[in-house]
Amino acid sequence: MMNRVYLLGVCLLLLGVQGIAYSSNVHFNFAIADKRGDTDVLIAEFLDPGDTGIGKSLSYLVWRELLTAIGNQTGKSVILLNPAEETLLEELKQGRHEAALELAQKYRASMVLWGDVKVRKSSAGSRVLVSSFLTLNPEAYSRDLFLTMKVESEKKDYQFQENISKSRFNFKRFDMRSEEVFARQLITRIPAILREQPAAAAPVVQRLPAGIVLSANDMHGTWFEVRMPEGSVAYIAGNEVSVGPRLAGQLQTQTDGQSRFTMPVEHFVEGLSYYPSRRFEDAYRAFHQFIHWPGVNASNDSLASAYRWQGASLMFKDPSRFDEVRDLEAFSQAVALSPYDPSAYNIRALARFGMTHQLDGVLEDLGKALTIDNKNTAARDMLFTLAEVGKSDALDLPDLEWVSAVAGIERTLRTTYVKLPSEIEAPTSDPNIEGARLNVENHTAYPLNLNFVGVVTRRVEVNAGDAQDIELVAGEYELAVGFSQALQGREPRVRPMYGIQTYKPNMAYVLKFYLNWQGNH
Amino acid sequence: MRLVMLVVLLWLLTGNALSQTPGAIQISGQIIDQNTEGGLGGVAWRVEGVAWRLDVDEALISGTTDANGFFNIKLPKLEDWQNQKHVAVRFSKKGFEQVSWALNIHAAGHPDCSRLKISMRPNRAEDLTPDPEAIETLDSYYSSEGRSLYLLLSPSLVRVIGNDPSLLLEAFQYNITDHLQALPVVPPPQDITVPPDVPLEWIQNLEIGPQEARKMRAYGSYLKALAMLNGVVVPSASEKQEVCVRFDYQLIPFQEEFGFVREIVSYAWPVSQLSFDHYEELAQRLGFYTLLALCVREVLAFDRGQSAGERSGLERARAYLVAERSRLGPDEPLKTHYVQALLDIISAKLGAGKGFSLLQQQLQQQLRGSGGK
Repeated sequence: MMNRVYLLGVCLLLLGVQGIAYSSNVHFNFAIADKRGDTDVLIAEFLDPGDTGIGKSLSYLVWRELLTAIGNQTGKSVILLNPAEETLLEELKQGRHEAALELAQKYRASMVLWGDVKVRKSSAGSRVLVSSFLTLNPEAYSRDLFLTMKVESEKKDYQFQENISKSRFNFKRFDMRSEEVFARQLITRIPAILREQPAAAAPVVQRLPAGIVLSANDMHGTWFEVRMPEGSVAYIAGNEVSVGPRLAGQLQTQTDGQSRFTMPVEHFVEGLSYYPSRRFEDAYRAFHQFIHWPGVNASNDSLASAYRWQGASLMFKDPSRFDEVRDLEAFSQAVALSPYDPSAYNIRALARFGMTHQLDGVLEDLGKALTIDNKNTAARDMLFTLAEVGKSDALDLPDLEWVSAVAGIERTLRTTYVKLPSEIEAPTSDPNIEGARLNVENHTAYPLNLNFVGVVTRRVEVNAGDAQDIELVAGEYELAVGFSQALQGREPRVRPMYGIQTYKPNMAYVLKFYLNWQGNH
Repeated sequence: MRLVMLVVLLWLLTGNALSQTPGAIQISGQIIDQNTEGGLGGVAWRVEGVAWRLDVDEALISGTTDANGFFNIKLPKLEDWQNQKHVAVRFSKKGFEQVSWALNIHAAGHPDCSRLKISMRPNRAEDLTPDPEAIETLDSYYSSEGRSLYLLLSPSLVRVIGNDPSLLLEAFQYNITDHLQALPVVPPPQDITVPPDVPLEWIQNLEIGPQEARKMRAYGSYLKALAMLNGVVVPSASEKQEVCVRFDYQLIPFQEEFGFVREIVSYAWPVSQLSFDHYEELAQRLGFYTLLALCVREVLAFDRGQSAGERSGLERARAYLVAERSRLGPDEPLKTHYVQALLDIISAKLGAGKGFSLLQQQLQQQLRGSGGK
């Protein structure tokens, strides 16, 4: 059976490319992808193992708050999954993020917000504990999860990108006093009815016009409990009132940097909704509110993600007024919070280079990313592109061995290459060799360059007809062997070589290179 | 002979950070041979959790006890330690069980850091045969797939948490699953699928006491478990001491080389403070260790050469660890150390060598040489 949904507002988004020209013949562009998907946020009922009823009310409240916050964007829809659909809740309970992703795919939603609530009672009163989870749908989010740079040059175009954040979040549990959860001001959005009980058939207490401010102190299902002037209570249906974030008890029709939603995760969701709509100022503010919510910093990976989204929002907010120190601070905060995450360094390098066009700090960050994970594709892509652009004199790239070696490997992997054997035959044992020794014999008429990336990086040139010993720390290496690009351009039969080889300690290896014009090296 | 390692993380005991600013740290004491009760020379020590992430001299973080077993570790004041609460010192000597000693560096200068007496005992082959009376119960939980995490609760603890511990089980199950499923995706070529969910099973009618680590390992090995979680009520030792609830988590798939993660991670709370929050907090921490256990299992499958795809299992484990490491914060040096140490083992098995520190040094030198460009 198809789940019923509560739906508000659907339309299309038009997005484009944020361009920053670098030089007369090279252009670096940050690309923001077109948005796909019909729904922006899908809210599942918060699981409520204690059957307190708060889960149902809280998910409804979150839905209404997010409607107020992001429903004013053209094309944004916020859907609350039918709370009566118990099978769906059970699937979510068991399948967790995997089930949430299936839901997102089913509804073509960009993200699913879900969670669970528990009530803890003590002599000091009862508290509501809410765990919230967010599952992004990479398909619907398309390339918005990445910061992408396109490099357009006269000869060739390149592109490299890095994830702005991961796609699954377990937020730190949020703890509220029970009486704080639903206490807020409401405004009747249409002519409304106050009733004696939280039911459509209950007797009418009072009829109200639109625009009347009410004080709610609790919820029952989707009904708000409202305190009347004489002290009694009445109930109003949730769909008859506007529900906004709170600021000192006042209703806000939208967030303004001071007001807060019921839970920090809602600001995170708000920011993720604004960002692909290119409302970067709003996205920046939303992530700022998430980051500065008291106590939110206990979850360092979610916080690091928020800083990265905030940094990306700040970059695009007003690129012409970019300030390197101020505007890269968010990315630096992300690095500080997740110092072993290569993508944290990559994205700061990408932002720094894209906005300042300078290499200062960029190579350090890419180097750090590679020291953490020398197979990191984003760092390697970026280094390769910088090296390629550097060859055209558009970039003053310093002559660093490790940059050349990584770029040499990546260049080979992008061409048709001959695969090198994984093992070199008949190595000889020599206890006097501390690591591994490679004796490279170049029996061709052209100079060879060898690029090693592994335990260490090396780039070695061996002249035509020459032989050379290369000392390496033992271990596994990617090896790319090439001739000069001029030769390979002149003679397409000369192909570069690539392979992954392991060199053992105290061993000497011999690598002989010949040109075989019958078609093989 | 299997090397037995007993690591008791003392952060619950030392976890209340003193207000003292971390500065130069001195840790000194003597290693005692438990058999002879004399000083044990030639014991290698190494400070863990800082070595690979800080640019410190190797000689400062590792060394050997003198002929009489005395050691004196002097760590310099490091700015990077401002956010770091704990480091561990590991003592090892061939033929003896390894010992790790966890140190709250905010408490450095505290009397606990000097004149330490640490006993090491000779290795013994460990008999992992379960007690005959336990086998029938264990058989009813036995799974040939062997991927479960098992929870044992002593009857007294069941009474403390209520007759129905299903909420406790749920907390563990869901938090561990959430941890595994939210592992960041690693970009190609290490692209990984989400780690498998690990079912949690509650073994009833079996009890393991707080000091019965061997029994825990024996039951776990018999069940081919990924990990065992044991919950007991620890009676008060004195009138001043409160009755505590203690949970011990132990990874089961191990070999000698995984000594550093083959540990009992212990958490304890006074009964009066116990709440569901603690279970969730504990479960969130256990997600991390469960991921380590999954990776260790992949490494062991590689070592056994069970199938043609074992190398891919090793690469998958490496990707899990790289992803796990990426979400660790600066104040989690021990977790970072465990991940890095396991990554080093996997890299070595893949033939990749210990890449991180060497590559880091090399790139730093080249960047310095280029004037920081």
